[in-house]
Amino acid sequence: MIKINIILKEFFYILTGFLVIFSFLELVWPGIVLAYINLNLILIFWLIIGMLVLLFNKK
Amino acid sequence: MQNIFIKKIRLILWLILIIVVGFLLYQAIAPNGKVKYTYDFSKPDKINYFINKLTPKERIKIINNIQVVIGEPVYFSLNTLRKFDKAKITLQYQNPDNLPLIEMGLLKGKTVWNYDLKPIVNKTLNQLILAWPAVYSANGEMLLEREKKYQTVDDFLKNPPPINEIAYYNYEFKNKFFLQNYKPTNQENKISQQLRGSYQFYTYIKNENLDFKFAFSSLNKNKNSDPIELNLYYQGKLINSQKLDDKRVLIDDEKKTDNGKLHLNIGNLLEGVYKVELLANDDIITDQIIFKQSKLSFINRLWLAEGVKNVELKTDSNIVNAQTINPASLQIIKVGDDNLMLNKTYQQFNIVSNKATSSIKLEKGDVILSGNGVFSFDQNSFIEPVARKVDNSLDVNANGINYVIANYKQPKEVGGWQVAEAEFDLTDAYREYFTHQLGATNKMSFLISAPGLNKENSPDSIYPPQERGRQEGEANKIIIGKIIVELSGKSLIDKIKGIFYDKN
Repeated sequence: MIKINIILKEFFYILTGFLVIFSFLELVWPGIVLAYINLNLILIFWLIIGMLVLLFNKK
Repeated sequence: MQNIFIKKIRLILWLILIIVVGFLLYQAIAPNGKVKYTYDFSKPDKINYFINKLTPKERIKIINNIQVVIGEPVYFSLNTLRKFDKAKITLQYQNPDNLPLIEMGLLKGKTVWNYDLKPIVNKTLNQLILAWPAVYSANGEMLLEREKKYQTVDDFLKNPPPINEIAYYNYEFKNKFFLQNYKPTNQENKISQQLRGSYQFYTYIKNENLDFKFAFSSLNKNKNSDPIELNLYYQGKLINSQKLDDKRVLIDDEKKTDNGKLHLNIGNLLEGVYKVELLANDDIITDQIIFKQSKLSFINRLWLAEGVKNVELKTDSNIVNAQTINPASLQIIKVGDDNLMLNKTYQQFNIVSNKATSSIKLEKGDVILSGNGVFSFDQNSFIEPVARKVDNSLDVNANGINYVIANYKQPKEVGGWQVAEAEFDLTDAYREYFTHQLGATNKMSFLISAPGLNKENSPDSIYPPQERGRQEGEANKIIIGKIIVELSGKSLIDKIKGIFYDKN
């Protein structure tokens, strides 16, 4: 249970990193990320994992 | 233990992030200067960032996941993450209705929407290749001769036959054209028929100044800036250019106003044919042209402005096209002894003429006339200084063509599809950039043109249905399978070297 919580937290941090870095890259170089990766999917993943982290913290 | 576990997970995940960012930067920079993009139209739901869908939708039908083009031209955009110098585009297609001419073009300028067209398939050339002997140069240029006279392409270029026996395709044929017994008159001539938008014309100079005066007005139908550019070319090179800025920017009150004058007066010119090009958008009217040359022929296209009445022109075009956007300009246009019915707006009508020259008589203006030859308001000022282009209307026998010079590769058949390649120089392509960016993302526009699409069973069609074996109401079509774009440009090392050499 603790391990799952740790893994989820790490995934949350890394997805936050993905979103920040990719958003910055898109700002300075339009298309560099969107040509290959759908940022919406990363955002959805990030939100789901964030909710799971909160759920596990609560438990 | 837990700390080690967290560190391991964190290391792996951040490594993944670094690898992904590295991959994205590698794709964007393309260090070896080459990149390849493919759009497979059998998978239309798969979004392709680099090659956009074919547009407009009205000219495309999707049947069983296949893109069927039923109108022309159709456009697609190419987005790139950096600048490239050259593009090789491979088109995989089917041509079930045996359309005689399909070309692909790259947008070079937005003022007059000029495209650099390259061949995909040219049926006339395909037939000539089977019938006439051919010689090829090291550069891939092809010379077809009705009867073999020249052993190499170089022999032909050094000692060409008369211009009226030559046709060209996808080739810049630089011929030196001289008029025997030409004498300058120094007499002032005037074209008072108003012309709209852009146009180009040929004139001839021998021991005289090139003297043209243009007077312009603006219709002010749009708020856009209406600059005017006047260019003079000799042997394909720009030798003089003048510009006139718009005096009434951001005004669209539709009040016609004076937009200034331009005077092109140049002496000490070599004898020969000169091309004058006027670049302007459709808001600009050329009210009159006053000139001292005795020869003037408009090239391929001119738009007679509203208000022009009862005008007669001469043309050597095999096919004359007419179009109007003004319902008041619908009329019957006399082309030689035949009638060209202009009975709908926003639609192009055409008529085929196999005569060397034909007269065109219009009662009303606001008509766009176009063709594959030249147009002149006066028989005496008519000049045909260039070879004919091998297009779908050229009849080599009727026009006395004995030689064809071309840059053309026939398409290949691969697995039931025709595959053709076209190469483009991207250095002067028109590009749209994102605003406020550091990266070099840009968008270029291409088109696929196939004269013969849109031409259904209409009596004005140059493709009578019995020749096509089609059913009543069935439209011509092209089926597009894939577009593959191979881009090449400077490598990362070349760019770095360029920076250091520039600094030194």
